[in-house]
This record gives sequence, structure tokens and C-alpha cells, in this order.
Amino acid sequence: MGKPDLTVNFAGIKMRNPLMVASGTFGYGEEYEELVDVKKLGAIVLKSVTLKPRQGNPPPRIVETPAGLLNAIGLHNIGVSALIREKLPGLRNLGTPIIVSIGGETVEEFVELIEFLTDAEGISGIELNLSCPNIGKRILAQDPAAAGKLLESIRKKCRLPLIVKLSPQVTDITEIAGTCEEKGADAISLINSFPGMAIDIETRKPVLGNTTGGLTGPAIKPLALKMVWDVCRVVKIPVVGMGGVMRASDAIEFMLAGAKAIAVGTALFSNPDIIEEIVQGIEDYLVQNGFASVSQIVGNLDGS
Amino acid sequence: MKQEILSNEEVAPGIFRMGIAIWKRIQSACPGQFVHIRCSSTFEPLLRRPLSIHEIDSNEVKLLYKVIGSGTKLLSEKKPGEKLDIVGPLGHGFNVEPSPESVMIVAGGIGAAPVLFLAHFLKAARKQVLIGARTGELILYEEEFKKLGFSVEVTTDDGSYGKKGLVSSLFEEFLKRETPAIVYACGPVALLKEVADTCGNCGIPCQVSIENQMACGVGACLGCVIKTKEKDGSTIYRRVCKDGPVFDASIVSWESLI
Ligand SMILES: Cc1cc2nc3c(=O)[nH]c(=O)nc-3n(C[C@H](O)[C@H](O)[C@H](O)COP(=O)(O)OP(=O)(O)OC[C@H]3O[C@@H](n4cnc5c(N)ncnc54)[C@H](O)[C@@H]3O)c2cc1C
Ligand SMILES: Cc1cc2nc3c(=O)[nH]c(=O)nc-3n(C[C@H](O)[C@H](O)[C@H](O)COP(=O)(O)O)c2cc1C
Ligand code: FES
Repeated sequence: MGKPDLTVNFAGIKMRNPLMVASGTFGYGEEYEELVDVKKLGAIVLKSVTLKPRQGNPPPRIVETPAGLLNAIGLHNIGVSALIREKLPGLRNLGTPIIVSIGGETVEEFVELIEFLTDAEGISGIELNLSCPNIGKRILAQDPAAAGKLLESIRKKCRLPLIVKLSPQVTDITEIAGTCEEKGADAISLINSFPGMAIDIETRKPVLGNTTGGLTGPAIKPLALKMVWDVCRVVKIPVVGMGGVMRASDAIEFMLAGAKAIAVGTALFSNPDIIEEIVQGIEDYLVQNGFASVSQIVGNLDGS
Repeated sequence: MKQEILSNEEVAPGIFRMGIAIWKRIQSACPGQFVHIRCSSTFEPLLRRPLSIHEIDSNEVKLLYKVIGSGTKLLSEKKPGEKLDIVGPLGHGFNVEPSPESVMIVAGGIGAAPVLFLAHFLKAARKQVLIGARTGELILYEEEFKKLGFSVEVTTDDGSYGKKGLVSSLFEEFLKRETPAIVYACGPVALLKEVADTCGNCGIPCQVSIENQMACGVGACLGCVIKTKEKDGSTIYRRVCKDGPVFDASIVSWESLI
């Protein structure tokens, strides 16, 4: 048997393998230049940008917790204009699809962002970050009606594949996933970080400058996997699964649960070679189990 | 990248020096830059640990570290011959000014780690270093500094060696007699703030090496920022791992760090 086919056509985005780097963990695609060969990545999701630059939350912004990382970055970003002007030109010729993640608090902000980006050169897709748990009160990802309205307003204006990123901070994740599919999303990605906090018992103060933050890393994997499985059973559009993927077997679990692509975030911090290692691990798994292509394992869960 | 550990010795109580086989990129490292180390092959601890470059010679890079938690504990247990997962050099180091009249280094505690490497690069008619530590046993590298042409003054908190007191007070006294053209400081943030304030009052340029929790270490995650001041009085967050760890002391918003 020859080499298995690892390529994925994800909602029209042609990926050499199913592995993406998750938004917020790979900056604007250039910071890891010396450590990561971007030609080995399936796609790059950039740090979420907003209409105007944002300063983000006061430090401390990160703290390690058992098998996890709590962060409260607070959408610190350079803004969409600077992204287009300063960052996209350098990313155009990488040969790796670039997905721009956008965040906003109102429908109008998202609409303007889409107008800025839809004709910008060198973008393969847009990810809507409805789920940043660090700003405002209620987030769009908790409000299916509002999210539906948002999609109605931007769908026609956006000629690029539109991926909606969901938050785990809901009672039933399938509800909003269904609404997004119905209102024209091309794909869904999940999950963003889980809300959490840490307290310094000596100072009796919260550790994070923002008091609370979002938990990522191995600690959240079983929770994320269950949510991905839930969503994959109700939608037909493709899903990017993420949350605590640290090794090939984690990625394969998410694919068996139905994810067509996988994003890796926190694991990059401890191991910049992680994507290459996971891709190799998936390839070995396909060979060992007699699968000719990676698409054959997507949703291929026995007995569910 | 995996590099071989050549040595790992306890040089003072709780303080270790590790020698690691050099690699190509580290050979052009600047003083003040750091390496990022994965202390465990599992994910406990999850994140890498930053350590300053302490010295580099023809075949090894040396680190000087204090055991304070799980990561540095694991590091201290590693044996020569084992491979270490290490990335670097990273960050923005000290700006070495070309031959000023006189230079001054102020180092507190484990802050001595990056300044010995710095000392190799400094050229000046008069070179001074002030070293402070809790106790005499923890004063390291006095001789090395002397060999590099530095005059050395030492303080200890308990008076067991050198003068009794804080290195920041020694520094203030020193400035009454002399005015170095530039000051480089490493150590706990309270010390850095005092040195920065004193330099600010006297109009002496000062560079400080600042520590913070890090995740990516390369400027991507924005997790390690500190508040800094702009010329127009506004403040912005800068990344310790990429814009630092060495900053011009006058731009650091010290109130936000203490
Ligand atoms: C750029 C840079 C260069 C550094 N260079 C050196 C060096 O050359 N030698 C050296 O010994 N250390 C250095 N440090 C500090 C070193 O990175 C930390 O001591 C180390 O990460 C602690 O890891 P740990 O797992 O042992 O402790 P952890 O389990 O992470 O921490 C144990 C306890 O110590 C606290 N803590 C964590 N980091 C620090 C810190 N920096 N200062 C004081 N308390 C802390 C934690 O909040 C916790 O309560 C440097 C840090 C930075 C950012
Ligand atoms: C430091 C940090 C910053 C993040 N920033 C963003 C962001 O800007 N937008 C976003 O949609 N998700 C952001 N995330 C969430 C990740 O994209 C991802 O959903 C989450 O980390 C779960 O994956 P992981 O466990 O592999 O890290 C961030 C995560 C981390 C750790
Ligand atoms: S540690 Fe990620 S930006 Fe500094």
C-alpha cells in the first residue's frame, strides 16, 4: 500500500493535512518563523483581530494549572487594518492557507470586519470568534438568535469560507451549532477555552489580572471531545475539533468523533514540533489500520 | 531541539550550573537573551521554563539556575549524557554600548546569571559590579568578574560576607562618589525598581532584565506582557519574551510591577 492521502478539502480550503494551529497561539503567523516550518502545517489560524486595535487585559495574563493553562489575554490585537497592511503581505506566499479570525461585540463591527477582509489578498477563510470568554458580559456564542442574526448579516457579504467558532459556555452546544449551519456557516470550529480561575492563597488575590480566564490544554480534552462528538452528530457541515490535543492519538480521537480537521494550541508552547509529530502519527495510524486516506477515519466511530 | 547535557552541578545551596553542548544558533547569542527549556517529557509541568544564558564557550552553553518549583527541580535531577529539549536564543538582550567611559552592573540574587555573560562583552576604561545576595554562600563569580577587569563590591543581607545590607543601598552610596555612563541591572523586581529610580533621578541610562511567566516564549501568545510607557505618556503592553527581557528602565511602568 502507498502512502495514505492526508489532504483535506475543508469547506473549500485545500489543506495538505488536517492540522491547523489554533487562533491566539500562533500570533500573526510570523513569530514562530525560526522554530516551525509553516509548510508542514495544514492551515494557520491567526490571532483574532478586532476593528480597532485592543490593548488587552492587565497582567498577569497566564498561569499554569494542573495539566492546563489559564489565560486572560483579552483580545490584545493590532486591529484589522494593521493586519492587512503589515502582516498579510508576508503570509501570502507561504503556500499554507491563512484563516483570519475576527472578533467583535456588535453585528456592525463584524460586518465592517468582513468588508475589510473579503477582498484582501491571501486569505483562505474567515473564522468568527463568537466565544472569547474574556470580554464583555454575555457572548454571542451563548445567544443562538443573536448569532443567527449576525450570520444573516454577513453571509452575503463574505465570499470566503466562513467558520464559526463556538464557546463551551453553553448548556447545549448543538443548539447554536444547528443555528449556524442553518444560517449559512460553511464550517464550525470548537471549542474555545473553558472559563476558570486561580487564587493565590498567600496574597488572597486572584492570580490573573482579569480575575478569571480561559482554561486550555490537556485538562479540557475529554470535555472538548464530547462537545465535538455532540456537534458532529447534528450538523452536516465540516467541523474543526480542538481542545487539549497534545499527541497524535488525541487528534485521531477527535477525527473518529467526527472532526474533519484539528486545531492545536497550547501544545505548541511546550513543543513547537507538535504538528509535524501529530501528522506523522496520523499517517502511521492510517497505514497500520489499512486506511487509504485520512477522510476514512472522520466520524468512523464504532458502536455509536 | 535536543542537546546533550555535559554537566549539572550544585554550585551553592539550591543553585545549579548546567553545561549543555552548543548548537549553531546559540553561538551568536547576545547577553541578556534566554533559552526556553522543556523540563519534562510529560506535560507536567506543561510549559517550558525560561533561563538566561549564563556563559558560552567554544563547546558549551552554561545556565545558572535556582531550584524554586517543579520545573527547576526536574532540571536539577538531570544527569550528564541526557538530552535536553531546549530552544533559543530568544528575546531581546542588552544593548552593549561601544566603549563608554565607565560601566556598572548591579546584580541581586540569581540575577547574577545573565550578567556574567554580559561582562564578557563590556568594554570600558572603568568597570564595576555590585553583587548582592541573601548570604555569603550565594555570592558567585566574584573571581570571574575580577578576571574580566571588573572591580567588585559585595553585600549580603546577613552580613556573612562583604558589606551587610542591600545592594540597592550600596548602589545609591556609590552614585554619590561616581557617575557611571551606563548601568545594567538584573535581579528581583524590587531591586530593579530602586536602581531604575536612582538612575532616573541622576539621568543615567539604565537597562534592566525583567522576568515574567511565559507560554510561547516567541512573541505569539501575548501572555508575558508588562506595562510600559510611551513618550506621549500613554502606556502599552510589551512582551517580555520578545520586546524584552531586557528593557530600557525608563519605559517600564514600575508601579504596575510591584
Ligand atoms: C527571561 C527570563 C530569564 C530567567 N533566567 C533565569 C536564570 O538564569 N536563572 C534562574 O534561576 N531563573 C531564571 N528565571 C526564572 C525562572 O524561569 C523561574 O524560576 C522558573 O521558571 C521557575 O520554574 P519552576 O517550575 O521551578 O517553578 P514554578 O513551579 O513555576 O514556581 C514555583 C513558585 O515560584 C514562583 N515563581 C515562578 N517564577 C518566578 C520568578 N521568576 N521569580 C520568583 N518567583 C517565581 C511561582 O509563582 C510559584 O509560586 C528567568 C525568567 C525569565 C522570564
Ligand atoms: C494564549 C491563548 C490565546 C488565545 N487566543 C484566542 C483568540 O484570540 N481567538 C480565539 O478564537 N481563540 C483563542 N484561544 C483559544 C484557542 O484557539 C483554542 O480554542 C483553545 O486554546 C483550545 O485548544 P488547546 O487546548 O489546543 O489550546 C487562545 C488560547 C490561548 C491559550
Ligand atoms: S510568552 Fe508568548 S508572547 Fe511572550
